[in-house]
Amino acid sequence: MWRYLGRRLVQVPLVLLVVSLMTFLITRATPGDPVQIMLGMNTSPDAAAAMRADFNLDKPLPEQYALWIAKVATGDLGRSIRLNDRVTSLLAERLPISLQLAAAAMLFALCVSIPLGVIAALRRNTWIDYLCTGYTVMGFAVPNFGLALILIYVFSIKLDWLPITGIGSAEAAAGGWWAYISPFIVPAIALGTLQTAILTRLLRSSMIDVLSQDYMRTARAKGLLPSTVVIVHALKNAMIPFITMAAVQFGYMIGIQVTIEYIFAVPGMGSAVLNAVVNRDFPVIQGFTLVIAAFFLFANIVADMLYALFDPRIRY
Amino acid sequence: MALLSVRNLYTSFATDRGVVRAVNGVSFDLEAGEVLGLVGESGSGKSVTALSIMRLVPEPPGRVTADSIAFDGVDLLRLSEAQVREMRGARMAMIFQDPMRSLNPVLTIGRQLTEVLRRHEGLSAAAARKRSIELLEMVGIPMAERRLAAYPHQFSGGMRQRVMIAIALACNPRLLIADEATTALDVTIQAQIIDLVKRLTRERGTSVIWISHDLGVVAGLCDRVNVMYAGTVVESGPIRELFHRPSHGYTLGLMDSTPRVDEQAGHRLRPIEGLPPNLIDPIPLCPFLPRCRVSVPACRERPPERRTFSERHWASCLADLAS
Repeated sequence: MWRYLGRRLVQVPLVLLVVSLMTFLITRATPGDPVQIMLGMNTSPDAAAAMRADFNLDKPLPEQYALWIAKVATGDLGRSIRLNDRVTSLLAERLPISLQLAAAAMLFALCVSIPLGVIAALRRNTWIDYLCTGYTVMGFAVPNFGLALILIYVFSIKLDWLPITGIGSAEAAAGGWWAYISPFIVPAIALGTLQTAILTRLLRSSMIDVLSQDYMRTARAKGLLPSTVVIVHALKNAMIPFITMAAVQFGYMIGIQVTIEYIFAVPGMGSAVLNAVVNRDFPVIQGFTLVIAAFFLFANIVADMLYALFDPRIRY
Repeated sequence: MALLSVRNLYTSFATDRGVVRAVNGVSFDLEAGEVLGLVGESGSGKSVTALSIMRLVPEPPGRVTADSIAFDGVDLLRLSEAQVREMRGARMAMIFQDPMRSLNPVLTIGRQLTEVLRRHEGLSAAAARKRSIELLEMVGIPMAERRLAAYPHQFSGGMRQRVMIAIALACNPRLLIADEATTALDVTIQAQIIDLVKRLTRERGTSVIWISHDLGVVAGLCDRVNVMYAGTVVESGPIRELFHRPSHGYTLGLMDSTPRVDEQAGHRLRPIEGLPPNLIDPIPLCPFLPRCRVSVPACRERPPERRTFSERHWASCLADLAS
């Protein structure tokens, strides 16, 4: 187990190195000059040249990359061209907010998909099951920004139950727990609905598979209560692929919440990355991409560890 | 009074291609302490008969009807699901064919044993644990205390079937149904398991229904045999009488296709030709007729009738196999 974990962790820097090279090349290959965007068209060539030199942008590409990656290895992700702030301090500000939103979305996905998946499997091929399937199809089909707009219209504008924005705002921090939590609800639902659909489908099919196993007949033959049969004997087996998938999807979430953060004005990583892309803020794009990739990698490792934890047959 | 008395059991399953009549009017009695064999090939309705008695047939698609399934004087078909649950695992228990797949892979052996004790006997966690260790020792599992924390995949097939037996006998049931309990095991382990079941059930006076397609296993274990074909019992009798005087074409076919220890060199096994009938279409005559090699002209004219040879030996066959 620990040796396996060690092997997996050793791979992380290697993957990140590849990711760093790719993002570096992609940012440099796309048109647009960060300095020109920052300073505008009417600046003197001297000022632009000075700024380029300041960010090493005047050096050849291999050297630029080498200088940057050497710093990254020491934990320094450089400075933002646009905001003139350290990328690491930008991260420290924004990562916790994005993580909170991702966690809220995942919590929503888990709370909905576990009961839904179990009920759909138990009431297979009945109208309850079809209703659940309909919901998951909708979750797959409606893009999260579209869903976000619908939710905003219904819950925030028509019903006026929940705020649209306010995550990470001063009012939210100053108010009580409800003031803190309420702005998360609509974006978390908009963000988590796709994961809800994925996880419901997965749990339904793995539950159906488990319910047809011989050991389920044994459990019934023991005269156990239906709740014990379903929760202890069936769900514990069906949760193995589910938990793994949930961990992978959580790693995914940080990367895909860009649009949601933008729509709900969440001061998280997604909106920062989006701004950085628009402004060709190379150090921010590179640094944030690296962190998102690292997060995804760790989520996958956690998924594999959970697999071993929940399935006694698997030992690394 | 018999411990179990089944009268006119019919079990069918609704499928896309029609209603499959898996069990067609099975009746039999099982005395306290008696070991009854249910013999027949795959699809003959042995397992479905057992599952119907345990009320483990999923309804729908299944449908179980009977004049009565009286267990200890109580008609199981009249009980609610909750009432049957109180009996399953406590007063009637079952072990299944594939011990590899009949134990839950993610629960420890200890959990799977103690849960049935806690459910039916109301034991505390500590008492259930203590009793589980005794049960594992009883079925011959060494270092039982340490084995409680193990998972099924850490056990061999024979060991797992021993665990299944421990679970089934945990609450001292009056009836044990073993559905092909040794089929998936190799021959030496088979013999051990059969001996174990024999010894434990005899000690406790447990009645046993032993389901097998293997006449040899049944011969060594059972007091009486029901031979099943196409969802009906075609012949029934005490084991000796049945072996000395097989009185149904199918029983005869089964015996001719089973190797014997005492047979002479050069004796050839005779397989039963053909396939069992499909159970969707109604079968007006003897279901075994198309495959029977001792049929008489009357077989093609009227359904078979029951002929009695001794107090407990009868067969539904028109051919006179004694001559």
